[in-house]
Amino acid sequence: MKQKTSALLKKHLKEITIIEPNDLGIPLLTTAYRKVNIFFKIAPFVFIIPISILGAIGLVYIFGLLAVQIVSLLQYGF
Amino acid sequence: MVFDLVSFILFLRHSFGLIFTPYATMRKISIETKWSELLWILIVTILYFLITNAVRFWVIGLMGAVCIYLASIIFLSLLPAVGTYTERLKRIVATWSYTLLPTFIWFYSTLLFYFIIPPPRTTSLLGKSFSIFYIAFSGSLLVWKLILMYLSIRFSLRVHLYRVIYYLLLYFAVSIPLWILLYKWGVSRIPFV
Repeated sequence: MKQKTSALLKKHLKEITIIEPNDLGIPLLTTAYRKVNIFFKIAPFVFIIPISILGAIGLVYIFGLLAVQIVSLLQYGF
Repeated sequence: MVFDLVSFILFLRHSFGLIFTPYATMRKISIETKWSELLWILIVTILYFLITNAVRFWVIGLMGAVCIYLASIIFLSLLPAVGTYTERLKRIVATWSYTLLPTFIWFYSTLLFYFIIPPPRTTSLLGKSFSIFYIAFSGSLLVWKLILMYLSIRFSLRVHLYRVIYYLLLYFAVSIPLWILLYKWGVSRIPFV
């Protein structure tokens, strides 16, 4: 049991160290990147869906007919 | 048969993993993907073109999609990165294939919407509501696709953020004219795949 856990941990450690962590050169930028990156690593749709809905409402409100025409064009695109 | 079932379960597991934990799943795919899993992606592609055959085109669309896919993986694996060319090619084939998931979902859903709510849309309340839903749906899938593309390059080529962005820009600079060309030739119905 202990050996199995150890092997699993070793495998996981090897997996997470296949690439070096991102370093953007400027510490402030790296910290900001890491803070934003968390949202994209696990369940990104929790943030993507509300932002997309707000964006879509904004697009239809601003562009009106043009946005509706683009939807029609995309619907013919399958 | 059991072998096929195992690869299908793995394919589903990775597909759901890319929705909920894209980072960890793409990392896993870059390390230990079985080739039989990728067969399911090919099956989904062929199935899509078989279904659309009844309504639109068949061979020319499939050929276009396969050409774009092959050109993409060859182009990306030729870029300077960690590992030999063969290693990079193997990793990019595995991870890039999974970046097609949002594309499949978009095309299958669009096919479904075409029959449920046929275009053209109007500026009525219902028309605008559907337009908002459709733009939000397409936008979400586009962002997910971009995340998967970023992760695919990051884990396959094992390069840093700046280089991933540079490679993505390079990829789009080459691909966008190609997509427009395929649209003008009538291979695809919209100027992107």
